[in-house]
Amino acid sequence: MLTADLVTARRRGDELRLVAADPRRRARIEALAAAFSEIARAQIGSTRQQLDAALDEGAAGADLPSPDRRLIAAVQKLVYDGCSFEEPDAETAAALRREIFRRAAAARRAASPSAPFDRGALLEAAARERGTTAAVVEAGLYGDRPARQRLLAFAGRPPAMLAAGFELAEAQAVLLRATRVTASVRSRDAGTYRQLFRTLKFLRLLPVVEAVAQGGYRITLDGPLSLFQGGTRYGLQLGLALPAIAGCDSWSIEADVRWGADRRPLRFRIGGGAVATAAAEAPSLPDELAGFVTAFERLDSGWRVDREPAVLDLPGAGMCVPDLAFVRGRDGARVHFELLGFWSREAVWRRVELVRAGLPQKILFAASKGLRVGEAVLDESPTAALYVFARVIAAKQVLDRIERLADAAT
Amino acid sequence: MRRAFGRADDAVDDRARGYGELALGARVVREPRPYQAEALAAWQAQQGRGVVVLPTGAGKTWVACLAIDAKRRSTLVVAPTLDLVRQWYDVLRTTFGVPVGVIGGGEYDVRSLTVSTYDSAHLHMEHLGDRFGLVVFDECHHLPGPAYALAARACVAPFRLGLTATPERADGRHADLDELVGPIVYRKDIVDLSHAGGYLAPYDTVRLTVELGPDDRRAHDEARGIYRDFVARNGIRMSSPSGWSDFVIRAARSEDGRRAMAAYRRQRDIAFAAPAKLDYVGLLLDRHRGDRTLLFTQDNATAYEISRRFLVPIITHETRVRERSEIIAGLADGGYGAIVTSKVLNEGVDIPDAAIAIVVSGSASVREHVQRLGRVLRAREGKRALLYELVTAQTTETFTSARRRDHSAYR
Repeated sequence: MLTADLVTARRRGDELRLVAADPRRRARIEALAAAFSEIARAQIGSTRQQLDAALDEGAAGADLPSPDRRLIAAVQKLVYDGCSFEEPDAETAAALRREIFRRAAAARRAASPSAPFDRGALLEAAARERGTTAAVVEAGLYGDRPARQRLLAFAGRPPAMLAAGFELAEAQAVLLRATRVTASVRSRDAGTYRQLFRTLKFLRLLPVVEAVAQGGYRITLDGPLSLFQGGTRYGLQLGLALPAIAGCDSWSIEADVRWGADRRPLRFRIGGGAVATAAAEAPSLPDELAGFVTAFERLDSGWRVDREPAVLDLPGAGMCVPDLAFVRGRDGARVHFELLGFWSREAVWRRVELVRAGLPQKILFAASKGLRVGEAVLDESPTAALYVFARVIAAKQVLDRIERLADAAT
Repeated sequence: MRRAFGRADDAVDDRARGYGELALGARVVREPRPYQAEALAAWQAQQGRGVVVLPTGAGKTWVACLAIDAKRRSTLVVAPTLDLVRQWYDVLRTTFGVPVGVIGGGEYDVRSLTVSTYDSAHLHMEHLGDRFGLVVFDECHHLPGPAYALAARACVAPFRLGLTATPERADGRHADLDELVGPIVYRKDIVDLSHAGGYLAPYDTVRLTVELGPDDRRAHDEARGIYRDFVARNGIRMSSPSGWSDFVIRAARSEDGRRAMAAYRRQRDIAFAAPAKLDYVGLLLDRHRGDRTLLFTQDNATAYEISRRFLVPIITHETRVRERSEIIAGLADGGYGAIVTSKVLNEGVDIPDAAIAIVVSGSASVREHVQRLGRVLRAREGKRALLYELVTAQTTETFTSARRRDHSAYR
């Protein structure tokens, strides 16, 4: 992922605009990506320090009509993201340091003007005990420093694909400085929406979703503290949400950003058609939910867990995106499940309003005790219930409640 | 809010408050030193909101324990590093004899006494803002940044205590501490507690100027010439507040500028790690072979060079927590005689009773320099601490050194 300082953007009044990705610029990016990828591939087996030096050398020699260091650094960063380095053997290096430095401390204390501390002799003695040379011992002392890690593999994106996705990568970095994002999305495939909404939940953003008359949704994204103080507190999450937004057939975003050293408030707009990116893959279930599903499936209850339920939309009232649906084997009864977790009381009240407005599907909401809401708020609803959990979501408690909901007359 | 509405005496149904009172107070009771008792009284007189300024080694932690014991509200202690979080965890657990929660470093365990890093407090305060009645901001000069300030703004705690040795910030934002924590309610500096009180060890500071060899001098002056020439040609006033950022921005725009930036770094590196300096480090380590010594550098490269050359353990941001603890314990048990570090040990972390500090290189920051001196001032019978500052002659270091010594502790 790019960082904000690697983005080439210009101010136009109150707007922030990326430098247009015309064919010439794309060709330059592709050429740079190809050169850097080649260098990275050739450096497999070298240390991180050697790779850095080789990339810098490659950058210095980049044959560009007008050298643009920021563009070069940005492409370099995206290529670097494809590199995997070895895990250093920190234990061995730390043990060697401990031994050598303790011996050195004792030797220095015992030294005298007539027999001064002798570094070389100390390393030679340690090397003899190991059957190696002093140079090897010395090199091993800091063998776990990041600069010494070896490049194991390079799996960067093909240069043409990197160039095609470069503008999106820059937009993502701009969103690191965003305080608020409004996205308009449209897709023919319900699965794309599900993936998008699941990503937003996974990132713990608070989306306010409105269905648009012409089709699609308008999504306003921020976090709970934005009410309290505008800031780029959720910039990373907003940036990470972009690939999922850009996975829709048509999309546009409008973001309030704080840009430059003076963090000047500017408006940023970008949009386009579906962009396939590796990062747009649907996230797996959050840990707390994955653990619950495993426990639930162990109950052998006669209920199946559907991990990809539909988005529930009540026109005019709002929508919700369940995490799961439970399907009863004997009669096909279906109960949706949404985890509201530890996040926001506001989200709970929005769901309660949605149920009261007539959401027809059966649904169980789960909220943490920390949100200080009572299960009684949905006691009278025949289609929905609230389960308040203390530390973990208890599979049996959920089973009891979905059985009751499934059997309740509506 | 009650104050803001001018109706402090009205009965209020406070539904925001989610914190409780501590069932038990401190189980370890130690007579506070007079200045600690004065600091607590001054803080109490300010309705339990304010900043206490005491030098390193003067026992700020104990002032906080006294404040927690006095208020007996659920308390969050916020500290800048994981080392400090661990230190606070040990102190609170021993002092209050109850399980202590930790937020940060991969842990999330909230209890009525909890310690957090600034990073984690900033991340989680929106969920935890109602849970604590007292928040202690250790090294509170970190708080007034735009991100960390949220940790103070998003919590409802009526009682707030800031602790620091040096509240002033170069960006002037220390004024925000008034709103975030409260005013400075008590202040004593190194000189007050060392010369008069005897609560800190007496000390001497020795400034040693070393000369560059002819080759290094030539390389230094040549690099400095390139850098100065660029600055002059572009009309950049390095002494102005925006001088450095002007230079960085202009340097990034042209090949000429990039060469000037490289030259700037080269002359600085030569000054930081002048061969004569490192030779002198060897002499000092030999001279003080029976003492515990801390060596400070401005950059990691010099710290690693000293570690490699003199075979002394090194602590940098790359050092894993377990190894860092082992090194500090090794200095305490005598297994090690010296530690070299760049900036990691500048503040807070309790170092065993070291007597010698060697500042091989540093920034112009008065705070950093005072903190480094503070590392060796823990009082002990018969101890006299010594701080050496190595400065390379006729380089920017002479100017940098003069600026960082602009404090009563060095007069």
